[in-house]
Amino acid sequence: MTGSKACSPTTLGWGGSAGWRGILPAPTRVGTGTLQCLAAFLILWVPLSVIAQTHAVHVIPDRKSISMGQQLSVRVVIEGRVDAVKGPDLSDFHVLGKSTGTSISIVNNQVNQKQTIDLTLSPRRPGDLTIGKVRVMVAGDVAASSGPVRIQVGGQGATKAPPGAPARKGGAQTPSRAPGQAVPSPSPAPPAAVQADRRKAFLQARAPDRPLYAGEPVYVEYVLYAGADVPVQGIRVETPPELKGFVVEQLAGSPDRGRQVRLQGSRYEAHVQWRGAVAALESGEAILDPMTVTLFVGDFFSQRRYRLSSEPVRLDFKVPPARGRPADYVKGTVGRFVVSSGLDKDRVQVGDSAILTVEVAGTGNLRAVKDPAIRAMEGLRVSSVPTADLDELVIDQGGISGKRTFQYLLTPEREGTFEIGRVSLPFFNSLSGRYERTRTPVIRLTAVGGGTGGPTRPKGPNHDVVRIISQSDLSPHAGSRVTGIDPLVIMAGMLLPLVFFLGAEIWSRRRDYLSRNQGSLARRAALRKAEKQLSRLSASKGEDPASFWAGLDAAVRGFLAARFGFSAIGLTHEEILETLRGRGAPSEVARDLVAEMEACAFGRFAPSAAMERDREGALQRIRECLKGLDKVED
Amino acid sequence: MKSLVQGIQGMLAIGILFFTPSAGAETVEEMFSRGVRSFEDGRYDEAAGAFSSLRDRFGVNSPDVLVNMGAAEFSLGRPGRALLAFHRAMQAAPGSVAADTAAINAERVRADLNRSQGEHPEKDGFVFGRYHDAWSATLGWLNPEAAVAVFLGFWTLLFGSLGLRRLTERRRFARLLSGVAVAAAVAAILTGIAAFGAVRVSGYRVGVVLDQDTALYGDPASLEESMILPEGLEARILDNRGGFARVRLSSGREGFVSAGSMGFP
Repeated sequence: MTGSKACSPTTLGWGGSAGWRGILPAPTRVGTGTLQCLAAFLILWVPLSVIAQTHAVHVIPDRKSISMGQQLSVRVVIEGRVDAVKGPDLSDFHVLGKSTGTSISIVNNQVNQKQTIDLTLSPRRPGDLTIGKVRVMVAGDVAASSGPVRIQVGGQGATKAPPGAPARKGGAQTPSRAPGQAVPSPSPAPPAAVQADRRKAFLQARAPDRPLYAGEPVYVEYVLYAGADVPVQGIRVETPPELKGFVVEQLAGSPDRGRQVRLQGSRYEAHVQWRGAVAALESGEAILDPMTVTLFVGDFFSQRRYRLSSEPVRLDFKVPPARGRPADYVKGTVGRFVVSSGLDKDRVQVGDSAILTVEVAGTGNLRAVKDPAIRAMEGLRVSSVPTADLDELVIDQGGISGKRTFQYLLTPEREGTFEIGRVSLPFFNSLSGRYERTRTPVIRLTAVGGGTGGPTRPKGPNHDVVRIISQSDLSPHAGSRVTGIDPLVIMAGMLLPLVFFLGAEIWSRRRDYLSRNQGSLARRAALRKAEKQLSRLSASKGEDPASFWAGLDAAVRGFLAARFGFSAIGLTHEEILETLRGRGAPSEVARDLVAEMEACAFGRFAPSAAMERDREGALQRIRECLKGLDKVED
Repeated sequence: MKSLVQGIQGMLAIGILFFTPSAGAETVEEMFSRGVRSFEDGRYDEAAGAFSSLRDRFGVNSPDVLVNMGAAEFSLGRPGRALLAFHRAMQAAPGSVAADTAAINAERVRADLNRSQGEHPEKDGFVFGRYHDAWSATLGWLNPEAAVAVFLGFWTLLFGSLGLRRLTERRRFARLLSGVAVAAAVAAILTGIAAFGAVRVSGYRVGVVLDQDTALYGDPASLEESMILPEGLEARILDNRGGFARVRLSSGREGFVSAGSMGFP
């Protein structure tokens, strides 16, 4: 237990065997009483319950059998408030690390104080070694004591860790994994296992239980454990972890739906509330700060809410050691990597290009991996190609895994076989705690044909990225020059159809109007038309009498037909008079008109000199008559 | 008569003496070739000098020269000036081989800028690319003239069919024209939006930031910059006010940049 240690945890939980409904303490029930009552209850209840607490001490090694060179983690759990702790006797072991923490939990109306001491031990010798008793003292008396714990220590690599035991740093138990292979899920941290038997639900931050290094992406998850008999209705994240001091890459996707786990013999359902990769910016101690969620428990008829916070978890990030550091090591290259390379073709024409692809695959701080330097023979031009889009990085339980891809254009400038030197990548293996190196084999590229071995172009900044035009007549060749769109053309193009449409509309409306009002329009035009005819007759002075009087008669009859809607042809003068009177014409005017019509008949068939002299008078009289008749209302 | 011929011959001889180029002078074609050779030999500063002389001193307005000038500027580590030259080449002869080459080169310059961005995390936040907004992203690919022509066609069809429908007295023909008018109306609306967008996008004036760490001000009178722009960033020029250009970035942010730090194609 060298990586993660609980520090001053304060947990609020509930437990017991009577089922969740009967055992939930009032302080954890939100919304079932007023806060004032809750506070008062706590003040009175806590001191009494402290008195009633019992003392116990447990010594829990992570395994009972190890080999020399391996490390052993031992957790000493002391329950109850004690004055002093004596032991254990660790004369058979080297003490490599020690950390302590205290937690207070309220269980079944009792406040329990729990102190944990995490020890990292290394055996001094093989054989059956013993971790001595631990005694806790209260008021000068031994309040509780643990028994001695026997540890079987074999020779180098002689023993195996028990199934399911978490990996520990160093030794044969933590072989380097193949790059790209995810590191197994971090095992549940001991605090959860120890306390699980007393709590129905708790939230815990989990991190790999191994040495961690600054810059290394570390998979972290916050898991809510709910007892199998707790009817979880829902979980709401109240405050996500801030994770100050880390570079955080949260894993996208919704939290899982829960999986069954067993902790210390109890069945739990684990719900991941937050997960991602964090990388410490600096070495030293860093804290996975608490996360708070609200747990909804109950059924359709009653539901209760419980606010749960995780304990802060202290992580110790180291710096890769200076000893053994390769000269070409790039700071931050922590993880497990394998570099590979390949050409898309191993034979090209001189001047043509082959693509060299270098892939760095593995788990760890892949982002820190820089473009490998390509060592090529003279006459082979090397230029890098942007390939950021080919990188495949995923956040998984190994931190960040995947591959980085780098590509180069190799262009031979003469014939021959070119060797591309090994691509070498030194890195610090965070699992083995050693610097390691991965290399590619030497690659050969053959250039054939054409080339006369022209001068090798000196490498300049990005000179292969852009192309130039070597031959030009320097004319300002126009191509398909865009001349722009003349707004006048657009306006004309839009207006012409509109004008056509408006013209058609107006014409159509006029046509409809005329067709609807044909009668009234004709009536309105009757006098005008008759006057035109009279004027024409007046102008034709030399016309023969028959034609003149016939024309005059036709003008009158035409007026009557248009204005009053009846044809005077075939009617006697008396009938005409009666009809006009029937249409509302003044009798005097009607009579005058009929008299003029009779005169016209005389003029046509029995012309006289007197009548011929009175042509203008007849025209004038008829005009007056027609005007008089035109005033008749329709 | 003889003396007249001799006089003309003499003047011709003097003219030839005056106007024969000296042995050290070079033609514009030779200067172009010299620039190409310089570029290929890695003497990018000489190449850039030759190509800029061709354009600025000798008035050679060939897009080929602009393409090569941009390539030389980029190789000298001046991506802003390179992009400016490529933009000018694209505008000088759209659709030509030179314009295509300039477009490819510009994309490569942007890709290189984006790649180097990754190596300098302190510059994070900028993505180098052609200026784009919602209009250019959706309709930037349209040929504005073709879009306007199609729109005018549907517009004419719409009002032509409406007008004919009013004129005709045959009911079946009128019904047919009504259907045509509805279809033409829908098409005219859609093509009208497309034509508007295409014309709008084609009217964008895009400039290039020429200087590294160019200050973007919220107001020309402001003393405090609101953002620092990297060289090679392309922005839409909205307006010119005095010594400042009002620009809009692809992100939609607007501000003022010293006109001397912006290149206008």
